[in-house]
Amino acid sequence: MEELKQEIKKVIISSLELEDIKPEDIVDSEPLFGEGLGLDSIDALELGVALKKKFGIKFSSDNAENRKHFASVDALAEYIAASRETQNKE
Amino acid sequence: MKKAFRIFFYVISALYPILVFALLVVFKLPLKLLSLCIIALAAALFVSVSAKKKEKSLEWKPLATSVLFFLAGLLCFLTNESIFLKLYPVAINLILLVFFGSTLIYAPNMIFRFATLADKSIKGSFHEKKVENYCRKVTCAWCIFFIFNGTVAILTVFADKIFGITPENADKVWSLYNGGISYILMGFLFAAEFIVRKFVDKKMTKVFPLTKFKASSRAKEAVVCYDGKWSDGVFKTWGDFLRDTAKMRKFLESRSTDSYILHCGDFWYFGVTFTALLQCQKAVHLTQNISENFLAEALLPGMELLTDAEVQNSLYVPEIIEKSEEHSKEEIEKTPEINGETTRIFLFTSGSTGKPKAVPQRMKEFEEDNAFIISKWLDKISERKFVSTVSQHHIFGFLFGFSLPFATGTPFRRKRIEFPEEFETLDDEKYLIVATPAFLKRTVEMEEKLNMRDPWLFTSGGAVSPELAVKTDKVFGIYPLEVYGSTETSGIAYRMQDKDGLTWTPFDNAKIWLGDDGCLRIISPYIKDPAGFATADMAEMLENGKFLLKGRSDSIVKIEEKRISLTEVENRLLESGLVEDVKVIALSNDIRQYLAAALVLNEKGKAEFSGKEKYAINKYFHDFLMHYFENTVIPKKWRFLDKLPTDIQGKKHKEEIAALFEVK
Repeated sequence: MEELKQEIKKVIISSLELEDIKPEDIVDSEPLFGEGLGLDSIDALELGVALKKKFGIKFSSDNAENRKHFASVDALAEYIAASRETQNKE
Repeated sequence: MKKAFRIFFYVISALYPILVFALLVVFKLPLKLLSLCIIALAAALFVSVSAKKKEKSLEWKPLATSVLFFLAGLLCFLTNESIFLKLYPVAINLILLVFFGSTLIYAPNMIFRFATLADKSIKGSFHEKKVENYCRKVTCAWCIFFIFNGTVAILTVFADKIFGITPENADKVWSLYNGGISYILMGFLFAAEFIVRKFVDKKMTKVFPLTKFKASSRAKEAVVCYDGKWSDGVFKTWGDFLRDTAKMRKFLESRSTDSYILHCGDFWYFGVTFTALLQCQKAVHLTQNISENFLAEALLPGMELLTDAEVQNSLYVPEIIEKSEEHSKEEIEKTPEINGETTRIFLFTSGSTGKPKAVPQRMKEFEEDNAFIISKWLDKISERKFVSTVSQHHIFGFLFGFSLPFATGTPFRRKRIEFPEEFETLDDEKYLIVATPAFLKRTVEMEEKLNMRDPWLFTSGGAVSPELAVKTDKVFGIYPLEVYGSTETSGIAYRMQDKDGLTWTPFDNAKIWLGDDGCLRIISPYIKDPAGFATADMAEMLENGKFLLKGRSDSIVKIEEKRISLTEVENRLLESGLVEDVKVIALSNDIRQYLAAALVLNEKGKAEFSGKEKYAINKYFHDFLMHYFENTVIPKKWRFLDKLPTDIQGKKHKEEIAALFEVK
């Protein structure tokens, strides 16, 4: 799980071309958008594309659910881990 | 007495064929005597009509009838041939054919003239053209009938010669057709047209903008709003709309507040509250931003916030609508009139002075903008269901996401689409999508070909790149209809790249030319300044009045369709009290456009941040600007320097600042 979180952080930094920030600066539980890491709605979409490419996962067509998944690194890691598991079962 | 005579005369002329037959064949009245009777009748009618009114012009119909009768009677008397008496129906058909037929060439057509006399609301309405087209077809149908009827009438006049029957039987045939069958046929045509008209009327989209609707404008069960996707069947109807606006109206009337800020993410709550506010003649400020800091500046003393979001000290719209009691039928159907010229609507834009600026708008101009779209694309609109990705608190979202579908009575989705994946669920109906190019861009990256049925796309708030247009076609199956405009100008021009390439066609009601600076100048009904509006968009005019856009020229840039003044961001940074000098520029990478800020900290700033990591300083200024701007337009890259590069005049050049951000 820790490894996955590190990977997610790397994707965040590289896909959004963030400057001056190292993976360890991103707090797992802190909100990604708005006040926390300060990402915006365009970043959200961009990050969605990057995560889809990197982890081969797909986000839901339900808006409220997506908001939950994108809330923090913790939430993203949980969602990615869960969807990987379902993929493996299939 | 006169009236009685006229009625008697109309009965006579309707029964004319039967009378002629009865008198001539059954009672064997001498032809000479009969023709004298008819001449007398014609004369009497002529006298009654011409003596009727002195001041007004003569009525042509009874007059023409009397002249015809007179001629028929006279010719018959002179020649002793009954044929002239019998030609009367033929002449009537011929005259009607000329009258109806001529209006097909000289518009408006005859039936449309009758229709507009009977229903005054047709003139000047959005569906006038459609009604006229329909009436034209009906006029044509009548012309064909007159040709047919006249031809058969001629045949019956000469029935004895053509069909070789006895003159007596020929007279019977003549009166049977002209006094009976022809009327029955006419009745059939009337009835058929009446049924067809009801059917067409039901199918015809009636346009009732916010300033023109009444309780009776739509059927109570007509769907205004739907939740989720159309086939879920979760609807809000016109009846609900009237009921809920009455509730909101009563609530507003119970308060003394005159000026409100409105923010409802839900299109239904938004529409109901917005309508009630205008009906109560309140001032309405629309805002997408309801952050604490924004509201602290925007909510002036005496103002209140109406919202469906959970904000402290606000009026919670869902509770007002869902919890308050139902009102009387009378109150529900009251629909106080909204005057488009006196509505007080304000949209917030970021002016270059710093503070969020409330720009006054009126329904009149909004609806003029809608009117052009409706006149051009009503067919596309009325057969679809609206779904918007754009906030209805912004001008484009308001115009296309709310006021347009409201006017055309097209159902719109209660919730905005916020994630491209949501499009995947919309596979059950024909949808009309309102989106920004930015949203399209993300969608075509995320989605394969969508399983949508024949959608239509309106975009505004920025140009769609040729590449994006092609990709949009791949994913949605259609090129976006792009509307060029802004908060200040509203819609000005349009293009669809598969047909128009990159060329913009101005709206019919917009006048466009180039200023000395190479930027577009615009006059449209929407722009109140008679000198026109000077845009910051550079353009090239083409010979046919169309134009090409060549980019923007000033310190206001658009980041993902959000207008942002660089000066404003700079001013805010200076306000932090930690900055001595600053220059903000717009940059872009493979992914997006963004702002970048180069700062010189003052003494206080240097002390504050000494020993801190750069990321922490970035974050400080980011969070500081979050108080004033949407996240999207806050600088993404930061440079802290001892001095900003300037030329000899002390001017900071964009190129030199941009060089500071180049990745080494």
